Amino acid sequence: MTAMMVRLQEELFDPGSLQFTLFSETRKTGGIVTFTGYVRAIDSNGIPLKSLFLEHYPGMTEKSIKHILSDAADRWDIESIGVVHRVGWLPPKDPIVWVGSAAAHRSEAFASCEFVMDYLKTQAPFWKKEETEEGVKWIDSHHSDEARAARWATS
Amino acid sequence: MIKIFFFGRLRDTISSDSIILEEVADLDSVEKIRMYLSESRGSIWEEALNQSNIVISVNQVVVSTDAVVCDGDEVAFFPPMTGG
Repeated sequence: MTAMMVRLQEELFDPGSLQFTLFSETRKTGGIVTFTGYVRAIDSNGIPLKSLFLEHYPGMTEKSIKHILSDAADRWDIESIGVVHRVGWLPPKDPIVWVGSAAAHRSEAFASCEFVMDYLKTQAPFWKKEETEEGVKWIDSHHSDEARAARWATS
Repeated sequence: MIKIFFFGRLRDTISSDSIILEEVADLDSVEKIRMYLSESRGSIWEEALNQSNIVISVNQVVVSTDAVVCDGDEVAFFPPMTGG
């Protein structure tokens, strides 16, 4: 049975303390892989970012993330896995998302963490918009993200 | 009654985050709802709702356009996700 944690919040989080908590509740874990996504300081044209807005679909977003974590727990032998995702307006350089996967061996931890991030990008209802001195614009999805998620598809 | 939500760029384009349809007897599929809104709400809605990459959910599960919709369901239209 894999322990799962899903948290959506406006508040800042500390990746170090999240990893500490994840590890403290495990017994057979020998390795943890974590990923932290941050707000960039500039947009894709090199213009300084004022802020990033994360919109979500209350209810569906949480359900989607739980579904992704359940899929990960079905595929790999992991002891504990968690996602923290922020919503609302975030300043540049702030953490946006954290994924942590704890397993007895590193291969399961690496694979499941990457799987969860790839699916979060394409399956969980979040939408980003960036604010610069030139105004506010919604971010388009990337085909490369869909291609990364498609790699995990099972036949 | 069917409640319909809109998110992201789509919501900004049509200037609406949600609507409620009271008379839903003929609106028993996602495609019929999309056609009804396209015809009744004007060209901005029509163009926004018929973009090829629009994602549709029923009761918070992503579906295809032929999905069935029942009285009391929650439907949402939104652009491809860009989280993480």
